[in-house]
Amino acid sequence: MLERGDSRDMSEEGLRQQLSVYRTQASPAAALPRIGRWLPRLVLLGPACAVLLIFVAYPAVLAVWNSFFAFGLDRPGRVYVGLQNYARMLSDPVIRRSLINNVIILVSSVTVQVGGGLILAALIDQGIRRGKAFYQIVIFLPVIISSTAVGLLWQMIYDPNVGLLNAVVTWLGFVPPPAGWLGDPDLAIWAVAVVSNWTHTGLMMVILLAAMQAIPEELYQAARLDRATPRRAFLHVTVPGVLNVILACVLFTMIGALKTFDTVYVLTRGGPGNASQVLAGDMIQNAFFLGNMGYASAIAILIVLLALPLGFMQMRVSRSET
Amino acid sequence: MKGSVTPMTGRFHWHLSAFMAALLFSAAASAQTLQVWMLGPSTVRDYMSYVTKAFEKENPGATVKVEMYPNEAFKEQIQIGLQSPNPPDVFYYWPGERTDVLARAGALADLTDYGKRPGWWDERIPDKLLEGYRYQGHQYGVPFEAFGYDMYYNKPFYAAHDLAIPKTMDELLAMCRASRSKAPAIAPIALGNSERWMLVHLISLWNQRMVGADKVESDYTLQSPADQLYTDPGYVSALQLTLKMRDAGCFNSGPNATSPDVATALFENGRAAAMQMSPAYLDSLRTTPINGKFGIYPFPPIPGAHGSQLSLSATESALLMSSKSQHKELAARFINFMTSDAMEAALLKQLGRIPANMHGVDAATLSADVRMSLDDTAAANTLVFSIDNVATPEVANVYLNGGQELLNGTVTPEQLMDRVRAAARDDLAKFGH
Repeated sequence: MLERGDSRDMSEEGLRQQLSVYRTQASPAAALPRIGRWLPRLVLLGPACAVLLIFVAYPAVLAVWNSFFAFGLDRPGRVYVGLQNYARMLSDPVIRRSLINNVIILVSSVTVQVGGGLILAALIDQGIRRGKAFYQIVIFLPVIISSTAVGLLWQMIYDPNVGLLNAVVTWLGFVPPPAGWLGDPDLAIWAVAVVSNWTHTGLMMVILLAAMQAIPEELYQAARLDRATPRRAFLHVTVPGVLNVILACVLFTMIGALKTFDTVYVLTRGGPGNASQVLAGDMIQNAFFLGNMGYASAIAILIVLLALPLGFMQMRVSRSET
Repeated sequence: MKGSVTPMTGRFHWHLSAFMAALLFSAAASAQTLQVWMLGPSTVRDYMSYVTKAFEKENPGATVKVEMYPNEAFKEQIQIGLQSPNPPDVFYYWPGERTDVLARAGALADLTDYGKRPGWWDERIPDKLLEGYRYQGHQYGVPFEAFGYDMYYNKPFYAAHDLAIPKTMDELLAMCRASRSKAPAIAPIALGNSERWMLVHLISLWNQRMVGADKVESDYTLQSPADQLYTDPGYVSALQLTLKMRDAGCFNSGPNATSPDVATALFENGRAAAMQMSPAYLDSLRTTPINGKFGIYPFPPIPGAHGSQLSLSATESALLMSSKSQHKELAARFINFMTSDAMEAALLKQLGRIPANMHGVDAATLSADVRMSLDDTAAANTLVFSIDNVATPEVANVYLNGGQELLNGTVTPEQLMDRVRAAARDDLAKFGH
């Protein structure tokens, strides 16, 4: 076998001779050990590949295929419509509204979940001396509650007749919105965003806290020797130390915001009207309630196209971390 | 050796026979298993458990597996379930266009011939109720319950505030204003429209009363000529009436942000003076502070309106069979059993719900409130089913969303009807007449 620094003849003739030696070695009898080497890998990777093909690749291809047809679960047959479903999205006011709402949730999620999670993590890591575990548990608690339970809990808090929030707002001397927090078309999506952020900020905090704990303590000690204030230590030691994790969290949150559905569904079902509708909700509505399965597939493709670049960026960030 | 059986091959044959027997046994067992999907709260689960036990006892070897779903989840799951290779054999469903859509798609088994068997449902269930599940002359569903929606009101509150039962819609609006002036914190009518269907129940009734049953039906089912769909001015008047109720202060705060459960709780706990309800609620009302203090009155007529003023909002629930069911005979027997005199009497006794088949019910044992509700249903000449059940999907969706927007003032009645007409054209393109 050739090795670095091998002084054998590397001319064309020499390479040919070398190849013929390899070919001889690759006879059926010689191939057996190679199969023996590959077989365990195939056995181990096979199930995962099969699952990926059946549950990811096949549905994805099917969704693309379906998006070129008009059909529904409630009528027989399907009609080829080419790109009509995609063209329809351009003029669909519900899609426009849903996109805006997804962007609102995305911006608020990145700001509150990642920004808030970073500050909370820094406070727990460097700012709080006692009861760190208690604060971690309290902040993380909403993450482990099911989204349906969270939705129902907040529905009661927001309720305009018996809700806690209206009572507090009234007690403070303000007038709560007459249509209710979830019933007002201008407020509903923001009310949903609050719940979404309340639920997921704890997760971001835990991820960022884990990253912060990997920053060597000596860097903070050096900063203190240089008389750096806690704010400067945070900006010049903590943030650069976890920058890659912050980026990963931002991308993770953005992808989550594009796919958001459950919180909206439980709290408002996209209402009032379509004021708080999101892309995933509109897709479900079209697929299962309006019988527009082809159009719903096109919306699914739109969500994938929006999330795909973020997914690639997330992979690059993950690779750069390792 | 040829013809001889070695211990090895004998054991193999034994294993093979056992395996085949197990396969046959499991196939036979699964042949007797019915999948039934139902909608409703835990009380319905208990009733279904009672029904299935009785059915299994009468049909040895048969097993019935019941899956229960809440309202919104059921509507989604059944669409997926019916498209799967193993749909439920029997499932809960609503009348009108919802059933027609499934029948058109070939998802339903034709039950016409089963019903004609001697002693089966055709002889027990009124044709008026069966009609809702008939498409192009074929029967696709068998109703097991049907009841009307009336106004349930808090008698002590009405008495204490000198409020009379309204005899016309104008009086109802005046009653709302009077109630608000005397007790501002109490909603005259509880409305929980966060799930969008509650207001649409009201609009459905106004449509029928303003436009008339025949025209409404031909629009809902897209039978009207394309250029005349939803063009009757009565549709706009119906929406305007809804706005008049809102402006008279009839509803509680933020109805679009109030869930149906909270609205019911407002009425049960005296924070709302009335609510549109059906006998299905009676069981739960009896365990709350309103027990023994409520009365029932029908929605008053609208003077000068074209439709029947004796129409009544109603709900019908039926059992349908999937066309893919592998056990059609057993499924039909189950449907027949569940609509038998004994099971229907148990439905009333255990759940307080009004059965479609009243033959097994002893009128003398009925409570006063159930009797009152039955009298109202009997007095009604037309049963009004909700738009979200009887209209085509896009139209129903526009009404559901539009109802919320109407209450918020972000759409006018005229604009909403423009959207309804556009949606009807979409549905027409999809389904044809």
